[in-house]
Amino acid sequence: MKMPSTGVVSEVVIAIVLLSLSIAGVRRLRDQIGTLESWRVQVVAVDSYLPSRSPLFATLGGITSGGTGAAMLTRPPGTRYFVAFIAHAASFRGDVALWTGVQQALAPRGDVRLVGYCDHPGCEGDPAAGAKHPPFAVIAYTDYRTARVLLHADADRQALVLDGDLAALGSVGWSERSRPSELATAIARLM
Amino acid sequence: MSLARRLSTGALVATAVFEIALLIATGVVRRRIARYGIEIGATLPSVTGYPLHYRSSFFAAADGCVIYRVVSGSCAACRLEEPLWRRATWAGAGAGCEIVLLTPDLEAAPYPAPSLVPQIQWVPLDWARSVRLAMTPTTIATVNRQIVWAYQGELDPGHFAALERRLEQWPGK
Repeated sequence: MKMPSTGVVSEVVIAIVLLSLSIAGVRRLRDQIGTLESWRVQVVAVDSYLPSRSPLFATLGGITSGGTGAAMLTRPPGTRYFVAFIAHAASFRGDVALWTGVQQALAPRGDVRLVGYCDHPGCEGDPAAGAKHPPFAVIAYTDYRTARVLLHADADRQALVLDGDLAALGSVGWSERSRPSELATAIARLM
Repeated sequence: MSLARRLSTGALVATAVFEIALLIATGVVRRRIARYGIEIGATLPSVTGYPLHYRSSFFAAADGCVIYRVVSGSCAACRLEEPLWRRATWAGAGAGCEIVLLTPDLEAAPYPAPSLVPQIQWVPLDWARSVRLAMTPTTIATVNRQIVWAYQGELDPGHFAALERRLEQWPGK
Protein backbone atom coordinates (compact mmCIF):
# COMPACT_ATOMS: atom_id res chain seq x y z
CA MET A 1 0.00 0.00 0.00
CA LYS A 2 1.30 3.43 -0.97
CA MET A 3 1.85 5.82 1.94
CA PRO A 4 0.45 9.35 1.57
CA SER A 5 3.05 12.04 1.01
CA THR A 6 4.26 14.31 3.81
CA GLY A 7 2.41 17.24 2.21
CA VAL A 8 -0.92 15.43 2.34
CA VAL A 9 -0.38 14.41 5.94
CA SER A 10 0.57 17.98 6.90
CA GLU A 11 -2.52 19.40 5.21
CA VAL A 12 -4.80 16.91 6.93
CA VAL A 13 -3.16 17.60 10.30
CA ILE A 14 -3.48 21.37 9.82
CA ALA A 15 -7.13 21.00 8.81
CA ILE A 16 -7.86 18.85 11.87
CA VAL A 17 -6.08 21.30 14.20
CA LEU A 18 -7.95 24.25 12.69
CA LEU A 19 -11.29 22.48 12.99
CA SER A 20 -10.65 21.49 16.59
CA LEU A 21 -9.67 25.07 17.42
CA SER A 22 -12.84 26.33 15.82
CA ILE A 23 -15.03 24.21 18.12
CA ALA A 24 -14.46 26.73 20.93
CA GLY A 25 -15.15 29.54 18.47
CA VAL A 26 -18.44 27.95 17.38
CA ARG A 27 -19.50 27.50 21.01
CA ARG A 28 -18.61 31.12 21.79
CA LEU A 29 -20.50 32.31 18.72
CA ARG A 30 -23.55 30.26 19.76
CA ASP A 31 -23.46 31.80 23.28
CA GLN A 32 -23.07 35.29 21.83
CA ILE A 33 -26.03 34.77 19.50
CA GLY A 34 -28.08 33.63 22.53
CA THR A 35 -27.03 36.72 24.50
CA LEU A 36 -27.79 38.95 21.55
CA GLU A 37 -31.24 37.48 21.09
CA SER A 38 -32.16 37.78 24.76
CA TRP A 39 -30.95 41.41 24.84
CA ARG A 40 -32.79 42.20 21.62
CA VAL A 41 -36.03 40.88 23.10
CA GLN A 42 -35.47 42.77 26.36
CA VAL A 43 -34.49 46.03 24.71
CA VAL A 44 -37.39 46.00 22.28
CA ALA A 45 -39.78 45.26 25.14
CA VAL A 46 -38.27 47.94 27.38
CA ASP A 47 -38.47 50.75 24.85
CA SER A 48 -41.72 49.73 23.13
CA TYR A 49 -44.60 52.16 23.04
CA LEU A 50 -47.01 49.93 21.14
CA PRO A 51 -50.58 49.77 22.45
CA SER A 52 -50.86 47.39 25.37
CA ARG A 53 -53.19 46.56 28.22
CA SER A 54 -50.45 46.79 30.83
CA PRO A 55 -48.80 50.05 31.88
CA LEU A 56 -45.92 51.16 29.65
CA PHE A 57 -43.97 52.42 32.66
CA ALA A 58 -44.38 52.93 36.37
CA THR A 59 -44.74 56.69 36.37
CA LEU A 60 -45.18 59.77 34.22
CA GLY A 61 -43.82 61.83 37.07
CA GLY A 62 -40.61 63.64 37.62
CA ILE A 63 -39.01 66.89 38.53
CA THR A 64 -39.57 70.11 36.67
CA SER A 65 -36.75 72.10 35.16
CA GLY A 66 -34.46 73.66 37.71
CA GLY A 67 -35.72 71.26 40.34
CA THR A 68 -38.54 73.65 41.23
CA GLY A 69 -40.91 70.83 42.10
CA ALA A 70 -42.27 67.41 41.46
CA ALA A 71 -45.02 66.86 38.92
CA MET A 72 -47.42 64.07 38.05
CA LEU A 73 -46.25 61.79 40.85
CA THR A 74 -49.89 60.96 41.51
CA ARG A 75 -52.80 60.85 39.09
CA PRO A 76 -54.64 64.19 39.09
CA PRO A 77 -58.30 63.78 40.10
CA GLY A 78 -60.68 63.33 37.19
CA THR A 79 -57.95 62.38 34.74
CA ARG A 80 -58.76 59.39 32.55
CA TYR A 81 -56.20 59.95 29.81
CA PHE A 82 -52.70 61.31 29.47
CA VAL A 83 -50.87 62.61 26.44
CA ALA A 84 -47.11 62.48 26.85
CA PHE A 85 -44.74 64.19 24.42
CA ILE A 86 -41.25 65.66 24.29
CA ALA A 87 -40.89 69.40 23.93
CA HIS A 88 -37.52 69.84 22.28
CA ALA A 89 -35.05 72.33 23.66
CA ALA A 90 -34.17 73.42 20.13
CA SER A 91 -37.79 74.31 19.32
CA PHE A 92 -39.19 74.67 22.81
CA ARG A 93 -41.21 77.83 22.17
CA GLY A 94 -42.94 76.43 19.07
CA ASP A 95 -43.54 73.03 20.65
CA VAL A 96 -45.11 74.59 23.74
CA ALA A 97 -47.30 76.85 21.59
CA LEU A 98 -48.50 73.86 19.56
CA TRP A 99 -49.32 71.74 22.60
CA THR A 100 -50.96 74.68 24.34
CA GLY A 101 -53.32 74.76 21.35
CA VAL A 102 -53.93 71.02 21.70
CA GLN A 103 -54.63 71.48 25.42
CA GLN A 104 -57.17 74.18 24.62
CA ALA A 105 -58.85 72.00 22.00
CA LEU A 106 -59.10 69.08 24.43
CA ALA A 107 -60.07 71.18 27.45
CA PRO A 108 -63.86 70.74 27.02
CA ARG A 109 -63.45 67.00 27.67
CA GLY A 110 -62.03 67.69 31.12
CA ASP A 111 -60.50 64.23 31.48
CA VAL A 112 -57.25 64.59 29.52
CA ARG A 113 -53.96 65.74 31.01
CA LEU A 114 -51.01 66.73 28.83
CA VAL A 115 -47.51 66.08 30.12
CA GLY A 116 -44.52 67.56 28.37
CA TYR A 117 -40.94 66.40 28.82
CA CYS A 118 -37.96 68.50 28.09
CA ASP A 119 -35.17 66.74 26.19
CA HIS A 120 -32.62 68.92 27.96
CA PRO A 121 -32.85 69.83 31.64
CA GLY A 122 -32.40 73.53 30.98
CA CYS A 123 -34.93 74.04 28.21
CA GLU A 124 -37.81 75.36 30.27
CA GLY A 125 -35.66 77.79 32.17
CA ASP A 126 -33.63 78.95 29.20
CA PRO A 127 -34.50 82.57 28.45
CA ALA A 128 -33.60 81.94 24.81
CA ALA A 129 -36.46 79.48 24.62
CA GLY A 130 -38.75 82.39 25.41
CA ALA A 131 -41.83 80.28 25.99
CA LYS A 132 -44.55 81.53 28.28
CA HIS A 133 -45.30 79.35 31.27
CA PRO A 134 -47.02 76.36 29.65
CA PRO A 135 -50.49 75.30 30.81
CA PHE A 136 -49.23 71.77 31.41
CA ALA A 137 -46.43 70.19 33.40
CA VAL A 138 -43.02 70.23 31.74
CA ILE A 139 -40.80 67.63 33.30
CA ALA A 140 -37.03 67.76 32.98
CA TYR A 141 -36.00 64.78 35.13
CA THR A 142 -37.91 61.54 35.04
CA ASP A 143 -37.59 57.84 35.54
CA TYR A 144 -35.02 56.17 33.23
CA ARG A 145 -37.57 53.69 31.82
CA THR A 146 -40.14 56.40 31.21
CA ALA A 147 -37.48 58.50 29.51
CA ARG A 148 -36.43 55.63 27.23
CA VAL A 149 -39.98 54.92 26.05
CA LEU A 150 -40.65 58.62 25.45
CA LEU A 151 -37.37 59.00 23.57
CA HIS A 152 -38.17 55.97 21.43
CA ALA A 153 -41.59 57.41 20.57
CA ASP A 154 -40.09 60.82 19.94
CA ALA A 155 -37.50 59.36 17.58
CA ASP A 156 -40.52 58.31 15.50
CA ARG A 157 -42.03 61.80 16.07
CA GLN A 158 -44.89 60.35 18.08
CA ALA A 159 -46.71 61.55 21.18
CA LEU A 160 -48.17 58.86 23.43
CA VAL A 161 -51.82 58.60 24.36
CA LEU A 162 -52.23 56.68 27.61
CA ASP A 163 -55.11 55.66 29.80
CA GLY A 164 -55.28 56.48 33.50
CA ASP A 165 -53.24 53.37 34.35
CA LEU A 166 -50.52 54.37 31.86
CA ALA A 167 -51.35 51.65 29.34
CA ALA A 168 -50.73 52.88 25.80
CA LEU A 169 -53.86 53.45 23.74
CA GLY A 170 -51.80 54.49 20.78
CA SER A 171 -49.66 57.31 19.50
CA VAL A 172 -50.10 60.30 17.23
CA GLY A 173 -47.51 61.68 14.86
CA TRP A 174 -46.69 65.36 15.15
CA SER A 175 -44.25 67.97 13.95
CA GLU A 176 -43.80 71.74 14.18
CA ARG A 177 -46.17 72.01 11.21
CA SER A 178 -49.00 70.08 12.89
CA ARG A 179 -52.25 71.94 13.52
CA PRO A 180 -53.46 71.78 17.14
CA SER A 181 -57.08 71.06 16.19
CA GLU A 182 -56.10 68.15 13.93
CA LEU A 183 -53.75 66.78 16.58
CA ALA A 184 -56.50 67.03 19.22
CA THR A 185 -58.91 65.20 16.91
CA ALA A 186 -56.38 62.42 16.32
CA ILE A 187 -55.79 62.11 20.07
CA ALA A 188 -59.52 62.05 20.89
CA ARG A 189 -60.02 59.30 18.32
CA LEU A 190 -57.77 57.02 20.37
CA MET A 191 -59.75 57.53 23.59
CA MET B 1 -2.41 15.42 -8.51
CA SER B 2 -3.45 12.32 -6.60
CA LEU B 3 -6.93 11.89 -5.17
CA ALA B 4 -5.57 11.98 -1.61
CA ARG B 5 -3.75 15.22 -2.32
CA ARG B 6 -6.82 16.78 -3.89
CA LEU B 7 -8.97 15.74 -0.91
CA SER B 8 -6.53 17.04 1.67
CA THR B 9 -6.11 20.34 -0.18
CA GLY B 10 -9.90 20.63 -0.47
CA ALA B 11 -10.29 19.92 3.26
CA LEU B 12 -7.69 22.54 4.11
CA VAL B 13 -9.30 25.17 1.90
CA ALA B 14 -12.77 24.36 3.28
CA THR B 15 -11.43 24.63 6.82
CA ALA B 16 -9.81 27.97 6.07
CA VAL B 17 -13.05 29.28 4.54
CA PHE B 18 -14.96 28.04 7.60
CA GLU B 19 -12.51 29.78 9.97
CA ILE B 20 -12.80 33.04 8.04
CA ALA B 21 -16.62 32.81 8.09
CA LEU B 22 -16.50 32.12 11.83
CA LEU B 23 -14.28 35.16 12.43
CA ILE B 24 -16.58 37.39 10.38
CA ALA B 25 -19.71 36.05 12.13
CA THR B 26 -18.11 36.57 15.55
CA GLY B 27 -17.16 40.13 14.61
CA VAL B 28 -20.69 40.90 13.40
CA VAL B 29 -22.31 39.42 16.52
CA ARG B 30 -19.89 41.29 18.79
CA ARG B 31 -20.75 44.56 17.08
CA ARG B 32 -24.45 43.85 17.52
CA ILE B 33 -23.95 42.98 21.18
CA ALA B 34 -22.18 46.32 21.61
CA ARG B 35 -25.18 47.98 19.98
CA TYR B 36 -27.65 46.36 22.35
CA GLY B 37 -25.36 46.31 25.28
CA ILE B 38 -22.89 48.81 26.61
CA GLU B 39 -19.95 49.68 24.47
CA ILE B 40 -16.54 50.00 26.10
CA GLY B 41 -14.95 53.27 25.03
CA ALA B 42 -18.29 54.99 24.45
CA THR B 43 -18.97 58.31 26.11
CA LEU B 44 -21.36 58.40 29.06
CA PRO B 45 -21.95 61.89 30.41
CA SER B 46 -21.74 62.26 34.18
CA VAL B 47 -25.20 61.77 35.56
CA THR B 48 -27.15 64.56 37.16
CA GLY B 49 -30.48 64.08 38.84
CA TYR B 50 -32.51 63.70 41.97
CA PRO B 51 -33.03 60.96 44.49
CA LEU B 52 -36.46 59.39 44.97
CA HIS B 53 -37.35 61.96 47.58
CA TYR B 54 -36.53 64.88 45.36
CA ARG B 55 -36.41 67.40 48.15
CA SER B 56 -32.97 65.99 48.91
CA SER B 57 -30.30 67.86 47.08
CA PHE B 58 -29.64 67.76 43.37
CA PHE B 59 -26.83 65.36 42.53
CA ALA B 60 -24.13 65.72 39.91
CA ALA B 61 -21.45 63.06 39.52
CA ALA B 62 -17.88 64.23 39.22
CA ASP B 63 -16.01 63.91 35.96
CA GLY B 64 -13.21 61.67 37.25
CA CYS B 65 -13.89 58.04 38.04
CA VAL B 66 -17.55 57.14 38.47
CA ILE B 67 -18.96 53.66 38.99
CA TYR B 68 -22.63 53.33 38.18
CA ARG B 69 -24.58 50.49 39.71
CA VAL B 70 -27.96 49.96 38.08
CA VAL B 71 -29.98 48.20 40.73
CA SER B 72 -33.50 47.41 41.78
CA GLY B 73 -35.11 46.74 45.13
CA SER B 74 -36.71 43.63 43.64
CA CYS B 75 -33.47 42.29 42.12
CA ALA B 76 -32.18 39.33 44.12
CA ALA B 77 -28.86 39.27 42.25
CA CYS B 78 -28.26 42.91 43.21
CA ARG B 79 -28.56 42.04 46.88
CA LEU B 80 -26.31 39.00 46.47
CA GLU B 81 -23.42 41.14 45.24
CA GLU B 82 -23.97 43.73 47.98
CA PRO B 83 -21.49 42.16 50.50
CA LEU B 84 -18.80 42.28 47.81
CA TRP B 85 -19.46 45.96 47.30
CA ARG B 86 -19.26 46.61 51.01
CA ARG B 87 -15.87 44.90 51.12
CA ALA B 88 -14.60 46.59 48.01
CA THR B 89 -12.97 49.48 49.77
CA TRP B 90 -10.89 50.30 46.71
CA ALA B 91 -14.07 51.47 45.08
CA GLY B 92 -14.32 54.31 47.51
CA ALA B 93 -11.84 56.95 48.44
CA GLY B 94 -8.88 54.63 47.94
CA ALA B 95 -9.31 54.53 44.20
CA GLY B 96 -10.81 57.99 44.03
CA CYS B 97 -13.97 56.59 42.46
CA GLU B 98 -17.44 57.81 43.12
CA ILE B 99 -20.16 55.15 43.34
CA VAL B 100 -23.65 56.08 42.17
CA LEU B 101 -26.71 53.87 42.42
CA LEU B 102 -29.34 54.19 39.71
CA THR B 103 -32.82 52.76 40.07
CA PRO B 104 -34.15 52.52 36.52
CA ASP B 105 -37.83 52.70 37.32
CA LEU B 106 -40.04 53.72 40.17
CA GLU B 107 -40.90 50.11 40.97
CA ALA B 108 -37.16 49.46 41.46
CA ALA B 109 -36.89 52.05 44.21
CA PRO B 110 -35.80 52.38 46.88
CA TYR B 111 -32.80 50.09 46.84
CA PRO B 112 -31.50 49.13 50.30
CA ALA B 113 -27.95 50.44 50.39
CA PRO B 114 -25.77 52.53 52.70
CA SER B 115 -27.25 56.00 52.87
CA LEU B 116 -23.91 57.62 52.04
CA VAL B 117 -24.08 56.21 48.52
CA PRO B 118 -26.12 58.53 46.29
CA GLN B 119 -29.17 56.85 44.76
CA ILE B 120 -30.57 58.56 41.69
CA GLN B 121 -34.14 58.07 40.57
CA TRP B 122 -34.93 61.06 38.35
CA VAL B 123 -32.56 61.59 35.43
CA PRO B 124 -32.61 64.04 32.53
CA LEU B 125 -33.79 62.69 29.20
CA ASP B 126 -30.54 63.50 27.45
CA TRP B 127 -28.67 61.31 29.91
CA ALA B 128 -31.19 58.48 29.44
CA ARG B 129 -30.61 58.77 25.70
CA SER B 130 -26.87 58.23 26.13
CA VAL B 131 -26.99 54.72 27.59
CA ARG B 132 -29.10 51.63 27.04
CA LEU B 133 -29.63 49.82 30.31
CA ALA B 134 -31.33 46.49 29.71
CA MET B 135 -31.09 44.74 33.04
CA THR B 136 -30.29 44.89 36.74
CA PRO B 137 -27.70 44.58 38.08
CA THR B 138 -25.51 46.41 35.61
CA THR B 139 -22.18 47.93 36.59
CA ILE B 140 -20.52 50.60 34.49
CA ALA B 141 -17.21 52.24 35.31
CA THR B 142 -16.38 55.52 33.62
CA VAL B 143 -13.23 57.57 33.73
CA ASN B 144 -13.62 61.13 32.55
CA ARG B 145 -16.97 60.20 30.98
CA GLN B 146 -15.57 57.30 29.00
CA ILE B 147 -16.84 53.79 29.70
CA VAL B 148 -13.79 51.75 30.68
CA TRP B 149 -15.50 48.66 32.08
CA ALA B 150 -19.04 47.31 32.18
CA TYR B 151 -20.78 44.14 33.15
CA GLN B 152 -24.44 43.17 32.94
CA GLY B 153 -25.37 40.62 35.55
CA GLU B 154 -24.32 39.64 39.05
CA LEU B 155 -20.69 40.38 39.87
CA ASP B 156 -18.41 37.81 41.45
CA PRO B 157 -14.95 38.34 43.00
CA GLY B 158 -13.37 37.78 39.57
CA HIS B 159 -15.32 40.67 38.13
CA PHE B 160 -14.25 42.90 41.01
CA ALA B 161 -10.63 41.95 40.36
CA ALA B 162 -11.04 42.78 36.66
CA LEU B 163 -12.63 46.11 37.50
CA GLU B 164 -9.88 46.87 39.99
CA ARG B 165 -7.19 46.04 37.40
CA ARG B 166 -8.90 48.27 34.86
CA LEU B 167 -9.15 51.19 37.25
CA GLU B 168 -5.53 50.83 38.29
CA GLN B 169 -4.64 51.98 34.81
CA TRP B 170 -6.49 55.22 35.44
CA PRO B 171 -3.81 57.91 35.40
CA GLY B 172 -5.79 60.20 37.65
CA LYS B 173 -5.78 57.71 40.50
